[in-house]
Amino acid sequence: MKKVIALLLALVLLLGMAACGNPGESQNPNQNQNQDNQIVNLVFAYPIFFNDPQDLQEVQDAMNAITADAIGVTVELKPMSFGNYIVQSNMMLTGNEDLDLFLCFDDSTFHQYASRGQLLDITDLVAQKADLDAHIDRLGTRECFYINGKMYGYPSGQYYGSGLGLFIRADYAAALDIDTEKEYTLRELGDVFEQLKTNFPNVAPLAPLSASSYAVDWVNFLNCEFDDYGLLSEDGTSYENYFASEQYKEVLEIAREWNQKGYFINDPDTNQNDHMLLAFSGMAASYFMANPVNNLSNEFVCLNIDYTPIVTTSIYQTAVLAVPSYSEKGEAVMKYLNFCATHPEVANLYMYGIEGKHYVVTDEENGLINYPAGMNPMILTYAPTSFMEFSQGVYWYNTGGIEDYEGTREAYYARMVPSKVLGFTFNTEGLQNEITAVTSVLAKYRRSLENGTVDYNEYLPQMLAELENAGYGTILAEKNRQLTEWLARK
Amino acid sequence: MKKVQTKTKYSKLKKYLPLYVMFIPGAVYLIINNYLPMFGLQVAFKQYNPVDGIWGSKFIGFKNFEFLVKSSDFGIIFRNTLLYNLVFLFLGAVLAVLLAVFLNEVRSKTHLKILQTIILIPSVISMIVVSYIVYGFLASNGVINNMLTYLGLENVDFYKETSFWPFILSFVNFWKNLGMSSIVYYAAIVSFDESYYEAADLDGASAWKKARYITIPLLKPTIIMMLVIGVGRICASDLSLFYYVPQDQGALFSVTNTIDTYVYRALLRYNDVGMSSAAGALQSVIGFILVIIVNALSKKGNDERALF
Repeated sequence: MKKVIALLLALVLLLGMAACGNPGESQNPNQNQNQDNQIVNLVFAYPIFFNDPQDLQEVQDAMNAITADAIGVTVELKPMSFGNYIVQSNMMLTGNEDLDLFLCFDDSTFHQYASRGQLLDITDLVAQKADLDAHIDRLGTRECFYINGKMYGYPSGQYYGSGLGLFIRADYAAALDIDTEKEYTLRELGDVFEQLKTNFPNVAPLAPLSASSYAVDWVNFLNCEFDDYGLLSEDGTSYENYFASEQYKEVLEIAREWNQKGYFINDPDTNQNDHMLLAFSGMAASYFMANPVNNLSNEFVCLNIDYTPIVTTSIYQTAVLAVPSYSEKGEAVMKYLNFCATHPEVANLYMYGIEGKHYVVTDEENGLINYPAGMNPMILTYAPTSFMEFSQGVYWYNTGGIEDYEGTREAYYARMVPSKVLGFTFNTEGLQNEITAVTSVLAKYRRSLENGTVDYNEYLPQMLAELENAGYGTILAEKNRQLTEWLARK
Repeated sequence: MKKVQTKTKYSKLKKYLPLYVMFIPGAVYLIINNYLPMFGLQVAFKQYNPVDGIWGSKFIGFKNFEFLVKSSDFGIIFRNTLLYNLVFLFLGAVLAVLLAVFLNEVRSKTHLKILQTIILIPSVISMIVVSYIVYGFLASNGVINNMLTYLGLENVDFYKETSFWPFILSFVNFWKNLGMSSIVYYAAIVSFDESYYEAADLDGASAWKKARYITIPLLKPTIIMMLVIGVGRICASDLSLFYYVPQDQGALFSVTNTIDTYVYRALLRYNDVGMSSAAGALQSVIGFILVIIVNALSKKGNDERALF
């Protein structure tokens, strides 16, 4: 009996130690290491659009070999699949998980995190780093990264634009002799899909971007400036309900028409795959992609679409680098980013992997590279990633055979028109009830409507009625109030 | 007199000491896992701000509950949660007991092992995998629609048609969970005194009569206990069942939206710790009250049947 009791007691003690000891133990060795070698390790989370990179460790080691010596900072890369990145990064942030730098994706999450105090105020940290500060000056839109007067995010990109292109698999485009020079209207794109459909009956002409997006959701961005909570009026002084607008109706008309003509993949509502997988596996022939000039490749031909691209606050806020407020390594993060800004070799490793293995340089002078022979991003062991373009002089990836890439890009971005309300951020604080209700109404209808799987004549009025019921009007009124205030201050 | 009392108290303590010691690990587990987190429940009444922490955040009363209770969908999601749970609870109990009785009638050891394995396999498959299996059956080019085409019948768009989903979800739930719950009843049945059945055999009772007059009456305390426990979770729902199996389809919300899926979807964009805690707290409080009521009701007939 006594033995049993003793054993039990020992077990309880063990359990107790396991319960209390773990967190302390796991942190201590790291801290000791930091003190010994003066090396700070940062955890960096970001979304990826391809398979899990098998060579991640190798790339990470190569990056760390450079930065450990130079500035005493290393990174632990945490790539996560794009499809569930927002949910996963949100969980990490809310759960105070080990995280020092992450890509804050989606403009609405950025300002929510920031206004709720979940992001570190980096105003002073950035101001102290001349190279980082210079990059924001170059963009000329400081206000987009400020919430309530403080800077919470750092722009990850070099160029910002809202363009849209239709990427068609190059082999299909060549077989059909599609004109890649002209600018297409949406109706004309329908003809292209029809051509694809008749010539390749087993391939769906158009793929959605990812499991969480809809077949035509990018088309929403054409010719108007909007988000879930309003469409900006022509003169830029007020917002109206986007979902009740003529523009939205037109998008739904097109979605319905294209769906009924069979231009979308089978069962678009229940799709679980990303555009790349669908295109490379031969299930779909094309997809819409924003900022086409940044996404060119030899596998795809890009058709330009005829419209005026507008650059808005949310475009700048869609992918910002941010530091969680609980991270104590804000200083080291800025040191690291500052180093990357002037040392493209680190950014190149992060974005493209190791030269010779994951990419080959085709034009040293103009900084053009390509995949190694016989490779594509689906089978590469380190597929290209993004979000460090702020680094000066990084290679330009796979330019799809355009000779004067630099010129093409400059010309492309020259077309951008800045929004009339660039810099205005809608603060949703105090509107929780309305926004959660509106979110669930949109979740209920938008997917089927924008995939064209239901008749919008029947369901759009239903959605609008439910939106009104959910308090959409209250949100709109508050947004207009804030806009008026912002305009007056300006 | 007093001395004697303390002495008996002491000897009682000594007598039961091993039991108390055995209780310690469980108690430690419960305190760490179930009671300490309750301090965090206050987040439900606060405007949580990670910088100020749980204690420092601003107290805002019941404001966090509004998004749920004031929502125009609250009626639907509350109804769905309740009705599905009632079906899962009561029909589930009936089916699990029947299955357990059936298992008890299987005499061959090999057959029993094979059967148990078949029944239990679904409960170890992840719900995500299950959702794809279901999709394989119900998709527009899935098994069922192919069969319908073969038979010359019109295809059904299952992911748009609400009328099938109460049955599909119930079926998936039972297919996945029945094995586990029937094991509890089966374990109880195995422990019953064989002599009851021998006596019944002598009287020439059929298998059905034995089940009806011996097994089920003896099982009653177990059934009631399982129901009381189940009632505690009547406002909660299996998120993976209601979110992933219907593939998050908006057209199906009227029959698949439960409190959990609504909260998950609504807060996906507006991630607020306070609001999600409020929803959890509401579910727990309703469950707690119901457990007390049902337990009191079950006490009415016979004290022994009650859980506490």
